[in-house]
Amino acid sequence: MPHQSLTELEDAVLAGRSSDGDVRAFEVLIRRYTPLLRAYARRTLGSTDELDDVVQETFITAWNRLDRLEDHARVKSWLMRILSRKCIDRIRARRDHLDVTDLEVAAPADDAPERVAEARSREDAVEAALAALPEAQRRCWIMKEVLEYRYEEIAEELDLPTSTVRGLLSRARKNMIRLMEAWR
Amino acid sequence: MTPDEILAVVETAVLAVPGVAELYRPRPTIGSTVASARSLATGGPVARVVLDEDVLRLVIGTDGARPAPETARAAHLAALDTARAHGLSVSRVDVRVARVG
Amino acid sequence: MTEPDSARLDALEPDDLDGHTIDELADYLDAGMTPADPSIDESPACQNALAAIVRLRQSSLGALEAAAAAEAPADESWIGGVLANISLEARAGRDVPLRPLEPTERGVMTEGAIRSLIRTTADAVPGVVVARCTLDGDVDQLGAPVRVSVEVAVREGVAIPATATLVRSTVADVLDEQTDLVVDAVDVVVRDLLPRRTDPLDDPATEEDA
Repeated sequence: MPHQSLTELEDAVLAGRSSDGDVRAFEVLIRRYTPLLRAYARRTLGSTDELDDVVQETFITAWNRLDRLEDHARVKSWLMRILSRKCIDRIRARRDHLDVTDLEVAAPADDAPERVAEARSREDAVEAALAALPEAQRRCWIMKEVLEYRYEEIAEELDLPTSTVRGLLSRARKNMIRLMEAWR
Repeated sequence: MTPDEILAVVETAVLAVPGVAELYRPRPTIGSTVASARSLATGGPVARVVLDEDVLRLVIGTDGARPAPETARAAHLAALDTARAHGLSVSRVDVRVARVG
Repeated sequence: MTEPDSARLDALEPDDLDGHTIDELADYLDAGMTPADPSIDESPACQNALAAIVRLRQSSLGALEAAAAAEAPADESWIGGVLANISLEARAGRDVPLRPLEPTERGVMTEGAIRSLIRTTADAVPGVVVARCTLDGDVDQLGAPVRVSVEVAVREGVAIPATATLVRSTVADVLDEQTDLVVDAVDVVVRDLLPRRTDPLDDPATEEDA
């Protein structure tokens, strides 16, 4: 099978081949995960011209660092972490620091319960709830619950004390659970 | 001839060696051959054979028709003979095979 | 016993959760609920809260996947842009010497080129898809013995021992012909099974029945 299609292969095989230098296998990973990475970048950076660039940089960095990926089956979340770091760098570049005053805001937006209640699906409801969280809580939630970072890793990434991260996550959890009660 | 012109002649000689499919720029990327072609069109220099003091360096891809070690040897000979015939002082040719067809 | 959805979960303080904070429960979940803590496992309020956290996590990822489905697929010229910036050097590995016959000659082959060669050769064996290939040993020293390891996935229906043997011999042959490596052994590891291809004409050699 000299020109077999690689598109049906699972992530672990594709990542292993890519690590060994197989560009065609890497191209399959690019096609497979570009939409997910774009969706994540859009939600982190807003809909900007930067989306193409930040996702492209993510893949280029990933190619260079493939030997650091220990569990090839986890290439999807590994890609998202690389992207997350680049998004945070860009946000930092937009302003001098991630807004520290946000750390003090405990409560979600006032209209959050209505927005959650009117969602048509559970996923839409979660999106609405997340969007209503204060930024620092939302960022910590996504890094912990979607990207599966450890507390210390979040602290390092956001340049905050671990105790602050724990506090933000505690508030985020309670807010998310309460908000989702508004949806049936 | 200037050294750059001699190196261009050396490139041509290496590309003519049976078994040599490609000559890459010293840091080969997938897009480097595209960039090379564009550079040729605009008249820019394409340094695919490099002279480092008296050592020639080249990076090739082979087409698999002939064993790669033989192709690398033949490429080294072609580069050496051509360079010396044009008066360049060369003590060694470093051939790197980056792709085996 | 109330179901998670109908529980009043706006009560999330330790008094409501039998002395536990919501964060302890999240950490308990992360630890795979081991070692078992009966004060959590046997608390209805804690179980409700745990269920809520699990569902929230699933929905968060689900929301992102749903959003991904709404994004356009990668643009061809954009993909070309990514690939153009990918350096073959990054995955080239060590320089593997070729045996020189003259003092003017110094040839090497990149480890990446050799892996690519192994991959192409083994992929051509019917029913085989290479997952990984590694060269163990001092490949950067001429004449040093090297052990080659090829991990493959094979299609269901393929005779595994015969296929592994064929991969081993074809890889050994191509390395002998195309490199100056001294190969001690070629180890073939069958790692995975792949489902049969839906079109039997793709792999005429692998279908055992008509």
